Amino acid sequence: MKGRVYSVVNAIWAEAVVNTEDVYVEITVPASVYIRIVRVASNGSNGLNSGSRDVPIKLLMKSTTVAVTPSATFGALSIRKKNPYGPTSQCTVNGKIDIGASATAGTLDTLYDQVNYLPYMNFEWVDVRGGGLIIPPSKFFVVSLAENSNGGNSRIVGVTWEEI
Amino acid sequence: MGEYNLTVNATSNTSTNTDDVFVELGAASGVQFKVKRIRIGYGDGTQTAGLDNHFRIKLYRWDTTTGGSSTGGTIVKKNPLSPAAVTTAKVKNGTTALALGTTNVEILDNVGPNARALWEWIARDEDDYWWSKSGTAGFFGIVIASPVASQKFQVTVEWVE
Repeated sequence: MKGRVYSVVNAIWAEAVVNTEDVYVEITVPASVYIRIVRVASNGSNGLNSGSRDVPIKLLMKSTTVAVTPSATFGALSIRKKNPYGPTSQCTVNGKIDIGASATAGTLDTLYDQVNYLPYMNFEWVDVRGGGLIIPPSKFFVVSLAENSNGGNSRIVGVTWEEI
Repeated sequence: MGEYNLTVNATSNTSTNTDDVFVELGAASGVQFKVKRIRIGYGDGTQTAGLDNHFRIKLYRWDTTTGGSSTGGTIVKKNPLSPAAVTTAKVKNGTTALALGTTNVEILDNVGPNARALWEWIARDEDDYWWSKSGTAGFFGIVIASPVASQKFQVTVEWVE
């Protein structure tokens, strides 16, 4: 639906456990709403430190939420409207909010894409207009990152979506 | 309805990891502007070597203009036959620090690119534009912080009125 475009960004440190996935963004799609993913962007640094090592990122759809219960490391993220006078998003968004491990439960439905990039690259996946990565009602769109360096590194994940 | 752009060359804060406004666009009464492209890179073309550090870009909306010392940006019409822009621009004046605006501050995006590459965001279509509020509370800020003090950056922004 025209004008229903929203964005979220999450900058947080990865956990200090090698090769363990953290969920940076989980979009919960309510019943009777479809969303089209417009853009997923990520950086291997928050910009204020050097970043290091590879950044394996995955775009997923899950059938059940990744969080068993909200926790100190997994909580709500702020949704931004592209147009400040537009309608409020019908989705809710959670993600990793602390350096510790974030929830990675949930039933995997589809692994849409995975890529490994280096911290001095910008990762960006952009929808081609007319196509679309569609998440149906009552599903969960998830962006997860793994950490392959001891000590953790800061990461950023941003997602833009359209509600249709 | 016209399309406009603006480029600024300025230097990041003398303190590391400190946010400075590089560009602040302000809406005119009854008009929303829509940001369609932002491009940011290290240097202004006079540097003799590249750098390998990251830096941080944040995009904001806020309601109260920066209270710092700025200079007026030069707004260019993409179509020379367009009317003059009604959007106003404040840009960072060289090395002079420029504080963020206030009131209802929203972080719209947060990016950590490496200085060896350009970072460019282009709206996919009209629905992907970043819209301002209209009137006296409609400000859009492009903010940079660097872990290395006093680095030059070049910022270009395009918008539609």
